[in-house]
Amino acid sequence: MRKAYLQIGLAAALLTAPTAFDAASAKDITIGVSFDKIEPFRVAEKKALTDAIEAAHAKMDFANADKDAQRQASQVDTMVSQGVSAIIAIPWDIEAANDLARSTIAAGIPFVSLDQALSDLKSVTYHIGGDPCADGKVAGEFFVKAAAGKPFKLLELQGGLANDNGIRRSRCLDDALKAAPNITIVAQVPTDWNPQKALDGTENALQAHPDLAGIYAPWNDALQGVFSVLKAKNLLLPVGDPKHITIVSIDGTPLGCKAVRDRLIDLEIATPLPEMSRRAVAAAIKASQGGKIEPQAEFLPGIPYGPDNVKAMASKIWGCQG
Amino acid sequence: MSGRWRPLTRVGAQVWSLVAVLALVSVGFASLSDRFADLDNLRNVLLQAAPTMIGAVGMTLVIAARGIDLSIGAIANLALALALLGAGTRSEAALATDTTWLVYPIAIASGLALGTLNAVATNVLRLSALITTLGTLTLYRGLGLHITAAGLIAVRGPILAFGRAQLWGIGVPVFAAVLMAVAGWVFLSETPTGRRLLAVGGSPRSAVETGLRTERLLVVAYAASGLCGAIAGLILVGRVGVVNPDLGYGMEFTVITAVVLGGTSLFGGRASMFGTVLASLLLTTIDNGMTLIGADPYAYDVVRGVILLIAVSADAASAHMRSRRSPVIPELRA
Repeated sequence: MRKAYLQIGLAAALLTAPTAFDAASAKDITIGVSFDKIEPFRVAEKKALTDAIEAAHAKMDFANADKDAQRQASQVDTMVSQGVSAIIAIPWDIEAANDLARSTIAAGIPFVSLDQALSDLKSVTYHIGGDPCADGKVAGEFFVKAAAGKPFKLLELQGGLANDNGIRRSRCLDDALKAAPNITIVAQVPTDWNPQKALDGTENALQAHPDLAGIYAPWNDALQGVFSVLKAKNLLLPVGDPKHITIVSIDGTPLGCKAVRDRLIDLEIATPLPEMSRRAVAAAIKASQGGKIEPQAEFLPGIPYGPDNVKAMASKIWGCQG
Repeated sequence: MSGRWRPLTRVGAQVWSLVAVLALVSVGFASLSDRFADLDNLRNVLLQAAPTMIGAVGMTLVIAARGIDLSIGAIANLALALALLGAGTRSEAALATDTTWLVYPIAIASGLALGTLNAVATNVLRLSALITTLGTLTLYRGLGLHITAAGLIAVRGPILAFGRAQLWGIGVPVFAAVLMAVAGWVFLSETPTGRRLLAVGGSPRSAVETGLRTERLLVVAYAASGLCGAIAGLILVGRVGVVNPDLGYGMEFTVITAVVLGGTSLFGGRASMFGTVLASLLLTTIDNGMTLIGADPYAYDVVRGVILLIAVSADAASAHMRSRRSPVIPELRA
């Protein structure tokens, strides 16, 4: 638990520390923003980016690749030919986007990757994202603490297995659990970030292991499916109830915050979206004006919070505001 | 045996293979997990298979007519988005949308209308169904995203009833899936329209030359597919409790896999509703069993992919052998 609070402190420090970039005057700057897809978390990211770009007095040209690497490449090429000053992209294919980033930079346009890191970080002008590994590790350490040395059966729902966040949120959870042989991962269910698959996976795992003690839901949208199953089996019980199943989730959306406030999940790790967006925009503007970007890549760990400190932490969690 | 019921006895070899594979897979999982054969788990499998089964029933009609509907998942998405637009009240404070019973007629009417639009577009544009429904897939999904603002909308009220209701301990969607499959089979085997649909799939040119109104028949098939997409969407939303942008995403691939695996020919003119049901159960059983035995997550897609390849190869080989023996004769297999 102490480590979790250390993470809170570190994340809070990151949020309040001055960034490496100062938002320069950007009246004539248009930033091309290319998203891999549109879903609730991306909607929140788009809003955070829009706010950051408006605050910098720049303009935004937005495109959604809708889970298609080829479409994303075409959209970015079009933006470049239309004369945008910089690109901020959430890549759909973390391999294919390396070439896209290199060709964009070769055309004299800075390429900033957001949220999803490319397989080769040297391809981009700057990367800013969450730290899926740190988040997975915090989740793993929380489960170790919750198990307290006793036998503990854990269901691990997985996001996209061809996706950096999905892979590292899973791998680093598993690494953290290696120190606890009392914890058994009874199933690792690939869901491709689909709540329906999260529901089916939870239903099947509970069928095989009625004594399931924990569920790792590495993105908030999975929670609704998980809750549906637990409710049907009379297991949707608040934190503190002896039959409560320990749940850890990641994202920090309004849905996740509500689940924490309702005491339905034990730990939520909120991605620092506004700060990520602010740094991405500042780097894009600075690079478009010829400035040097250092460091070239930054990974911001999520902010852990739970039912006992949600009130105190709410101001730092984007999903708890409003 | 009267000619009327003869199709029931003509169970294709592919269906028998499916029964054998399903039995083998079930025995295998049962030996690896002592929970697999539990009654509760069988109920789970049936409930989880219901949306795929219903979508596959509609897709069977379309593929039997030598068409394809890539937009079925997008129809599930848009029909539900329209249903929430017409019969949902958003409560920001509760982060949930309250619904009325009107969601059902709106979703069903939307599914029928969107399916009909697919047929009309295919008929009017004279393009292949693949291209037309690829276009409407994007259109419908885009409209769905626009209506829901790409948000995750938690829902409450009557919209949850269909997906969660039970009868004799079995989910109501299971009964709905069985009813739809029986209705689909009766339609294809016992009604003149169904037989004409198979004839259109068997040889569109002959169908036109013999005076069949192929355009109207295609409207029936695509409208049924749209209806099935909407019903599958209602089940998914009822079970999960949210309308999210990924609702129905990829459904077309699962459903087409089930139809082809079940023995319906991608070249039209040959359909097997029983095979469709079995294949839907097989695909769901694989996912269910893999979770129960704690399989490597990277193995899921490999297993599904291998099954699809086997199905497509078997279908192509079978079509090739038939074409060498005799001209295509429309048929319905049990």
